[in-house]
Amino acid sequence: MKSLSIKLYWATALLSIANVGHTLDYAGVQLHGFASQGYFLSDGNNFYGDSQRGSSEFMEAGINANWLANNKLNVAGQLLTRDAGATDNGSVKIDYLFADYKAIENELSGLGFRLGRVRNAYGFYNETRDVLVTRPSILMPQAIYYEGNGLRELLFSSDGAQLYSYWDDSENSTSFSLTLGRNKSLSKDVIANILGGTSQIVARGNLNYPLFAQLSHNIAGGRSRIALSMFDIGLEFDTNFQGASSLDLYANGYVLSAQHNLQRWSFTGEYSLTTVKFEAGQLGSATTEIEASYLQAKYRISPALSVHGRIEYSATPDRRNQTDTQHLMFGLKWSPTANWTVAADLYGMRGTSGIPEIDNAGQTNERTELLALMLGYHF
Amino acid sequence: MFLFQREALIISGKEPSPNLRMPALLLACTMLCGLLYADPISRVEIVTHPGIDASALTSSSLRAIFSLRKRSWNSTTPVRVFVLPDSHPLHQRFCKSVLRIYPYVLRDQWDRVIFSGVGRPPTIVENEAALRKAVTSTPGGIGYIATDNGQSYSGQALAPLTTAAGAPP
Repeated sequence: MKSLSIKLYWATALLSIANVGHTLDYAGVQLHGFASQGYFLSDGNNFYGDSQRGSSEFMEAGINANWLANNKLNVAGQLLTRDAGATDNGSVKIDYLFADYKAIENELSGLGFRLGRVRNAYGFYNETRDVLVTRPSILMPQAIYYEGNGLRELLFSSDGAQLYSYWDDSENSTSFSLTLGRNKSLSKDVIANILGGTSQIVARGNLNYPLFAQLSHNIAGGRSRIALSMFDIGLEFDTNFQGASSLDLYANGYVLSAQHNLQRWSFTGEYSLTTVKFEAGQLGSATTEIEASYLQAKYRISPALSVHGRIEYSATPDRRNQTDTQHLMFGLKWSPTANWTVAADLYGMRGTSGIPEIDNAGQTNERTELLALMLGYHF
Repeated sequence: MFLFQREALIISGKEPSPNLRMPALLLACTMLCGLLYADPISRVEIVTHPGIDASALTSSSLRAIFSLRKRSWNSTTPVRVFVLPDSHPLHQRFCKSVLRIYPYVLRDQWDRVIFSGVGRPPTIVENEAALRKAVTSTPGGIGYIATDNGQSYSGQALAPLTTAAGAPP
């Protein structure tokens, strides 16, 4: 699969060379794509590969097509390859592929359905989290989006049905989406990401009845945005362990998101509360809560150059001293042309939440300093 | 070819007709800007394919169209949005004056659509001539053009385009 991902990477690169920066449209099918390559240098812990010696094991590339079948039906799909140290292996996946039927539309409102593999609406950034230009920084805010600890696979898409709707008036737009996913079995990689060392005793894992919903409101065309997202998923693992032949995990969470955009400044904050309940047969059960939030400011020096800073905090409320994690980040993003993005971020992390355990052989340190550089192209 | 007049009138500093009233403050600000800067783009006008009746377009329906929420004109014709590159002065003027959205906020909305597949992305064309050609030749097409000091592009071998009624002398 590795060679296939390299081929896709080059295919994307070639397409981008062929394209002069304008929309590619063939017989009603629009093509878009992206590719980005990172370089990480860290101290304390590894982040995506052996980053304490310098790692280039962070790469993302995707290509998507959008076909307007008629004025009510749209079909969209994206292939994605992503390498992220030991947490992702560069295999090519169908990121999303769905038919979108807009059942009702009038001047100020609309309602429709999507069927297939759909992106889950969760916070402001989940739907396009693998595209450098749409992310607030090289790494997603770890506190809300669980990039390093395996939950990303469960968050980003569902195989199922999605209902969406919106209502506009002169200065406001309100949107709602509800996603119901079908049950599916989890790959070994996903199980290893979620359970770490414990995954050795797991024979099979299943994702049950994922549900995602989001209510969002835009004021003045997006100058101010607020959103409330929620999810509810069940995970079921068959284990080889005596006394607990199955391990069930139920997770539900809420995210409150807010953003205010000014001519040069953008301020964003998100807060989430996630509850995870484990049930392990005769071994009993346990419930844990994770509270997380971040505040971020972005300043545009020019349309092509911006600087940003963010503070993130996450903890389990009843064990705050043992579990709290803080991240402080400063970075810049430069777009020399409409298609190219150069990003550089400096992170200071205290605590181990969000540090990819499987890049550190289970031995994580409390402190991490990370310099992340990334070059991206999109069209 | 329909030329969307209300925003154009505001941008050119002309008094809108009574049924096209906008908040007085916005109008005053826009007129002031027009006086302060000798901008070669004196008017931004919405253009649509001749088959589209755009007379009912309001600010909020333009936002719904250019934010890619609204997808069809009627039961048979899809909306096809044509725009200039983000860095083009006319695109920036259109965002700020007509949609009243910062260009980067609109770009963020488009990128979410482009990379999550939840709508029909806009088609970016290189210059105004290509944009006019694309809009006039694509059923359901909508875009925007600039006119310099009230001189419409209709004088340049584009017969379907007509000047806005009451264009300044």
